[in-house]
Amino acid sequence: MTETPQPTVLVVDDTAMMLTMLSAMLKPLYRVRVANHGERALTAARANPPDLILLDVTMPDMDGYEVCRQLKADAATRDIPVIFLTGLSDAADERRGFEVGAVDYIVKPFSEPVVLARVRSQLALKASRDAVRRQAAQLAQQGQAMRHMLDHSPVGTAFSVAGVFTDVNPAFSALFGVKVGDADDAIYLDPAQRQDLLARVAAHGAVRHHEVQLRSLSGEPRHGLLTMMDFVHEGAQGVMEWVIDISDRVRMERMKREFIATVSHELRTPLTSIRGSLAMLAKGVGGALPSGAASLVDIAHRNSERLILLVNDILDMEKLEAGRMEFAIGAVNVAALVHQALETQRPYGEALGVRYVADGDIDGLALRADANRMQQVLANLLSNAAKFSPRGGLVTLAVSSTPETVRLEVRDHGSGIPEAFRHRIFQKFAQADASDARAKGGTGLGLSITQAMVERMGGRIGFTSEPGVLTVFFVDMPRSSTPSH
Amino acid sequence: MESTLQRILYVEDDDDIRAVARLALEAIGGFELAVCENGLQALERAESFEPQLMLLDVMMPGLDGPTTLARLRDIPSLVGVPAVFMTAKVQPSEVASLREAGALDVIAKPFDPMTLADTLRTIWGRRLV
Repeated sequence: MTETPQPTVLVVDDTAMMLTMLSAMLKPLYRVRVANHGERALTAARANPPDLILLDVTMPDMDGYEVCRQLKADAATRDIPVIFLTGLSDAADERRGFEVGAVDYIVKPFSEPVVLARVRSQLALKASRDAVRRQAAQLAQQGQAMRHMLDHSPVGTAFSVAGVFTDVNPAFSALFGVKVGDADDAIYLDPAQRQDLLARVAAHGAVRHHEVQLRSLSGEPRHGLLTMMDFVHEGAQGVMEWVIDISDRVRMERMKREFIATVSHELRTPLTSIRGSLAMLAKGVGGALPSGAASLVDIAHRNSERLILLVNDILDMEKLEAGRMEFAIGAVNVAALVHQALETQRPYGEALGVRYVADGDIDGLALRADANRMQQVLANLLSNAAKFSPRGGLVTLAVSSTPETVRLEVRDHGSGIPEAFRHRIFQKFAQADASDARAKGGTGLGLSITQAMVERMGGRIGFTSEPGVLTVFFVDMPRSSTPSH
Repeated sequence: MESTLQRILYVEDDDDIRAVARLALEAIGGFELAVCENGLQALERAESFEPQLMLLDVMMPGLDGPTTLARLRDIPSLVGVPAVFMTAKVQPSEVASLREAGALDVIAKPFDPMTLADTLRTIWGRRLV
């Protein structure tokens, strides 16, 4: 705040002696201007409004009442406080003074301290009035700026009090056809969902970036990101809500996923016959092959297998991301799960010179999951472990449990996970080193799919790794009390 | 009732997949096949062929797999003959609806031709359970 300049007092009196005396009294405290005639006083006040006017009543040509009346009639001078200083001591005179707009009335002869005190108090009042006025103007300006922002915001914004919209910006109206005064239910959001969201706002103060299905003015379904908040708006307590229309983005994402799903699915038909033919050629079903041809067929066969894995992984990923992967959750017998996982994986380990063993007390233990997806999870972890193990290495599938959880651990003593890679190991197409010949055997989706499946089944996956010593991937699944198949 | 699986009615509209599966079932499996390109052919040939197992593709133009199976089961001699579908769509709900359509089991595509015959024998072995 800047320092307030010394207030200016305009003294108006037709007597030179009075002017001199009052000037002398006020000068130590204020800037003093003088006028000895009504007209001159008006001109001076209009040209440069003082903070206060001390006005004599009895003057030739134009008396103080008339001067005051004209001051009050002019917007430029209306707010200047006027104190009459007069020899007229009648109650009627005094009343007239107040009627024409004076703030005070001092009867001559006056005492100096009284005049100074009254001037000071009127100046203080004016200063605080001016401050309030300035703040109000500032607030009005800010309000206008806020309104401007709201009216031109591309984000649909609405305010409701007790279930009725009291403010709605054009973006919101354009999207949903909602007007001020409309009830806030059954308009653009499923009423039950709205009640649920309002309850959450009541409990937590706000709901942020909640993805919702909306209904537009034309009735077509749209997708939005909704934020709702307890809010005081123009003095009323209510709920402010902001809606960002993300329908286009959602549609593009769905089209992309459908495209990927369709292409991948269509790829499987030719792949079925390519892989089938190559598998039989490689095994000599079509007759013995010359050794050169046999190795080429073997390469083609292996890579057709890999292509199938990739297509399967892409389809799985798409299903997971679209929330369309189904899980038949039930009690899964851990002994059977472990046995089958190791049996299925054995040939893969043998090809890499890696042995699989089970560890832990698994009798009668059961977990809750989808048995087939659990097999897929273990197959991913077991094949990864073998892939990164040295020839002659050992991969252990260890089981432990608490009353709530069954933990499955896949342990290997291979090259481990480089520090720099750890934070993105579960990301899609993340491989530590694309040039690693062994890593190339994978699709880059395995761990990402594994994590998503484990989490969808209510489990948790993680790892610890000391390269070259011990790497452990663990999966915690809810324990089942019904030891079923 | 015969104790070994010998005669399979096979329906598949894709020429190449049909050729691969035929080789896998005849040359590797040693089965006797009635190979059909569509549901109508299967309906024509099924009764006289007297299959022990019916292996059907699911998505086919004209009569799809489940419809073909329903029509085959209208033939009195085929009512108890186990059926297996081959499909790329093997989500739990998809498999469940194929079982409801009367399949004893479902084999996922792409299938492994080297183990297809054994898989069918195993499934067929469960037919009375």
